[in-house]
Amino acid sequence: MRKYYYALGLGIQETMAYRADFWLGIVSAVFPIAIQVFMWQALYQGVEGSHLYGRTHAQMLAYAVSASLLWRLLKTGFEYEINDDIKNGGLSKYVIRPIAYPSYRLSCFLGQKAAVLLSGIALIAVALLCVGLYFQASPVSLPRAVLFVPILIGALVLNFFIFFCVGMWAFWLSEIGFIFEAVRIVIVVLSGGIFPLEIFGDAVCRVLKLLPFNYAVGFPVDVLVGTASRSAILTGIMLQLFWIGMMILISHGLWNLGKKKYLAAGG
Amino acid sequence: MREVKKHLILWGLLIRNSLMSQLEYRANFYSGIAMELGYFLAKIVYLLVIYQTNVPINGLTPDEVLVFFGTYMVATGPYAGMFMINLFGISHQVQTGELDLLLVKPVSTQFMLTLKRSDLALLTTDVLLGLAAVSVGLSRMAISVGMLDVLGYLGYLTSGSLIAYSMFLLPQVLAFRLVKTNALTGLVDSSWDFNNLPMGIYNRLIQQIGVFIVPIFVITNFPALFLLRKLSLLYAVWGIVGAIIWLFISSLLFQTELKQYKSASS
Repeated sequence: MRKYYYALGLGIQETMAYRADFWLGIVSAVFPIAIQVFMWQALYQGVEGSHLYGRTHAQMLAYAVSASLLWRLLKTGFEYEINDDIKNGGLSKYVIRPIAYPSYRLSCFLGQKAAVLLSGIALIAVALLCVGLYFQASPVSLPRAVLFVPILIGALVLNFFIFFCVGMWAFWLSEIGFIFEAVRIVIVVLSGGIFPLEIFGDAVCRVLKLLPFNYAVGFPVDVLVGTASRSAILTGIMLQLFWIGMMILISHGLWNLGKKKYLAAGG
Repeated sequence: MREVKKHLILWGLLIRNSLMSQLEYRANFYSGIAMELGYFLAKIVYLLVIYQTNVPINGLTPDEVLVFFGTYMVATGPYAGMFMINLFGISHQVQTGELDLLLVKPVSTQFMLTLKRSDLALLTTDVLLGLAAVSVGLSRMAISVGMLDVLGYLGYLTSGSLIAYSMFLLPQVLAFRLVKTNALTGLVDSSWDFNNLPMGIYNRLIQQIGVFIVPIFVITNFPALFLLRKLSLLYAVWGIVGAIIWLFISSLLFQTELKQYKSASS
């Protein structure tokens, strides 16, 4: 177990070394947030009634701001490293060492995120405070904020396994090119990283809420901003745990199948 | 004039080379198309919301917003397929000293450094999707388009592309001085999305800044405004004059900053 703590430490060190890059990535959220702020302002001014997609203007902005920051906070990148390890033979050194590659990757990822999670949460809190001051009503209650923390950790783990499965594609595809980026952007949309899933209509929304992606971004944000009912939170937690379990099994299966395809070229 | 012709012929050859290289590694070509389709999906959800609510945004109907969105996609073609892949690589060429090879070539260094590579998968996908969106928007509004409209639209798209090239080149010339500009690159790139929706959604102050000081809105809003016959005389003139001014400024700064380059290789 100690070796994975070292990997966790490596992840923390890596993030601290490149923290400027991380924070500039977060700052880039300003542009999509600004677009949404002005867009929703225009729409809420023009629409009859105070609700759109079952949300007030304050709730919608709170969602837009939190979701935009959250998916950047949870963003992965190790799938490119996995691809590099597979294509250039770097995986060989993990095969002969007494270390499980998926666990090593998970430890590094958790370490990277642990280094920025607290400051990321603080940033979301400040953003929500601004929304609250603008509308003169807090969009977040204390119990919701407390509940958000374990759900966020669940989202972090789920996001890791989703993208670990995506990274496993490198065993079967000769060229990755822009595939990972294409998959990432589709997952961001399906996870509610841009808009709440309700915009897709009832039927599609119901299906999307059965998939794992919502439990990485949309669900945690709905819990935080108070748009998820108590029963929805309970169901959501169960589904998040279910999908974490499922994605662990799928990634384990893909890893075992992929290892048989590995040629150890280069390295 | 002879120099311009020489560079245009060279550009044609470079585009052909890039296409041949892409077709050799077809997975990259097709995955490029898949990525642009993914981005298209991410952008079109904004339109989904606007059509569902069916609320005019500061006087613009959803169909008009569709024309703006389509124009944004068309302009994204040259941005992603020609400018971005070259401009964002400048820092790498400075770091590795690859720039040395370009400096000794008997052609413009700025031309070779900023237009050498093209990605036709990204370019054609964005342009075709954008034109489809513009056509749907215009046909829903029953606006007929004549030859003059097409020429004016293409003209403002060209001047918008020149502004995009100049604007996004400016932060990259810092690479000659700072060497590493990766973090800045990501930040600048994300500002492109400001054009995802028409500038009409922003308040007057932001609009004026985005038109006259940092002319990001000129790139995609002016061609769409021209097509919708809503381009004012001031904007019509600025769309052309601004492109010339920005091209001149960026070229001047490029030449000045290039003198700061110190070869990194042996």
